Amino acid sequence: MSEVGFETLRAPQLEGFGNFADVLRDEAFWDSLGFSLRFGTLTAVLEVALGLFLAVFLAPILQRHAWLLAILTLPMMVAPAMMGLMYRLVLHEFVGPVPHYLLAWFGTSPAFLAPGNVFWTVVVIEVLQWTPFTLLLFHLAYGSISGEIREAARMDGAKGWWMFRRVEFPMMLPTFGVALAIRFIDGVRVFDNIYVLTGAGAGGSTMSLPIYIYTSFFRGGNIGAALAASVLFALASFLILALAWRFAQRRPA
Amino acid sequence: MLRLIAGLETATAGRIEIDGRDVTRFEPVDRRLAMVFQSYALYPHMTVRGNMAFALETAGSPRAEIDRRVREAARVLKLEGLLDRRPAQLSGGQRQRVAIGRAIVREPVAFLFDEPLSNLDAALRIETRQEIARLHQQLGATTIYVTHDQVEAMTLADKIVVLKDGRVMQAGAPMELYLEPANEFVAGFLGSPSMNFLDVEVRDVRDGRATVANAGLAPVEVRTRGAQPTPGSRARLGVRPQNLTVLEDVTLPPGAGLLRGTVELSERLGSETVVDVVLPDRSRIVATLSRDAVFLPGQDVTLTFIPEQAHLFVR
Amino acid sequence: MTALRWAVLILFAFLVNAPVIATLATSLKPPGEIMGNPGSG
Repeated sequence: MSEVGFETLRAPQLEGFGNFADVLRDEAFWDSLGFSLRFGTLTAVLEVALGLFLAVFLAPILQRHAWLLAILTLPMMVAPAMMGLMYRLVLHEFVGPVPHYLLAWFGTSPAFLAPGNVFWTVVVIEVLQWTPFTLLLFHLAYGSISGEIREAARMDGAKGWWMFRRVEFPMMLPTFGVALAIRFIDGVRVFDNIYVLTGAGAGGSTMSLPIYIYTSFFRGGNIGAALAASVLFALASFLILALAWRFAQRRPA
Repeated sequence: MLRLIAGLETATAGRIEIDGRDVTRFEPVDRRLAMVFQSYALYPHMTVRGNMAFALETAGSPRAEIDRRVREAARVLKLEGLLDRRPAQLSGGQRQRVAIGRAIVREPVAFLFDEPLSNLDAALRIETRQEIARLHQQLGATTIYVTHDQVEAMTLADKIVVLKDGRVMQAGAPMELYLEPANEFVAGFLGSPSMNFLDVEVRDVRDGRATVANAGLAPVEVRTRGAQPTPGSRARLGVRPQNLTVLEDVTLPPGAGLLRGTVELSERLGSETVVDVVLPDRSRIVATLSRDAVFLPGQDVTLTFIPEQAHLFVR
Repeated sequence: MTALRWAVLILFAFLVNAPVIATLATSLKPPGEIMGNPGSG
């Protein structure tokens, strides 16, 4: 594979595109890229959908009791690595409260970190931690729609779902796009909470691209391959973002 | 007030009737009223066409009908070329017209205007005011127009209702309110510059007439309206600036009011001269005089008025 | 409707803060018990 290891870091041989070829030939690279994209897309969509629904549905309460937002956004304060640690405790097969109560009440508890379930477990954890963020964004966007516009729409007979679909949602569309993009970016580069919770297990099934880079750098010692993968990741991110912003720009809000 | 009529706020007491129907508990849309908001409240994400069509789409009108009514409103408001623009691409006056168009397409039983001109600059305000007057004549629909501007009230209204702190001060035709204000508030609100008020002492009351005077005002007999003042009490005498003339200008009619004071400021506006006069009791009055009247500050002046044009308000 | 909103709010607040609450609960237990059975009640 690569010629760059910790021993040869100071005097590397120029490999040309050999490192890149190695990375592109590595199945684990493609698997981790696939995981990152699936994870980023799914969590972004779920977080945005859930945040939007909650922001609108809870608006009457949140506008009157703004301090409740402090409770709802508390998870954002927790470092993702700590979050992974907490869930490691909470979901622990033998000592975690969640399996404990599931067993006590339903007589059965799924193995959260088993190969078939672990993807959904990390998705749910990520969504639970970051939905408060999208909720906050949509709460602000919803509150900034002018009262007179809502009144005008009421005079025009709009209410409920129609009001939301034709007046409120289109006015929140820029926030919608931004929330989706931010959460997608954050989801694709997911690292610490998964690494702490599952260590890229079970069987590498939660190996995100940053974890792939990290493990090949430190564990495998393939610095060249790791850096090549980072460069590829940066390029891919740039392409996706360029396309996304261009798409966002074409339909002005 | 307007928001109560529109149904955006709920009445805590009393009833609201439209054409004899009690609509107090009705939803805004069921009252069949259309409102033009102060900020226009156009939907920023819709085109002009979308803004005007929205109420009809909400009501589920057929496409052809929507199209016809939007076209018609655009024609009346001269918005035909702008139908595919968004509100952000329009000038203030054009946005105003779109807001009116949004009201027109619904063919409401009445229009509600909430200070629609207060966001426009002075020149555009006059133009739009005349536009609204023209539209009102053309459409012939009942319109309730809320304003703090007495010129808008005087020029647009068939009937003015003057409100203060939620209470009706007076209701009637514009000229009726101008000539026969029921109280000091109405008298001071209508007319520009606004009416002068003098603190006077009531000397004598007899057959609907009272003789009043103060330090700068020679005793004069004026009509009383409504509540009769009691002799010896204090009252307020209102005289419009336009009803004051300089003593030298006219031969003094018998029984005319006479005011002595000192000129403080004289402004020649070309068409007229506005003079600020300080009376002996330190109160100030304003007189609108002919354009040839020339005064210097500090000059003593005697102003006269016809008692019939003065208004006595009992405290 | 207001009751439903409150119910959703409380459920959501509990879900997102569940690990924080669990950690807090565990941190209040005496060390011996944590070793034995940190999860339950």
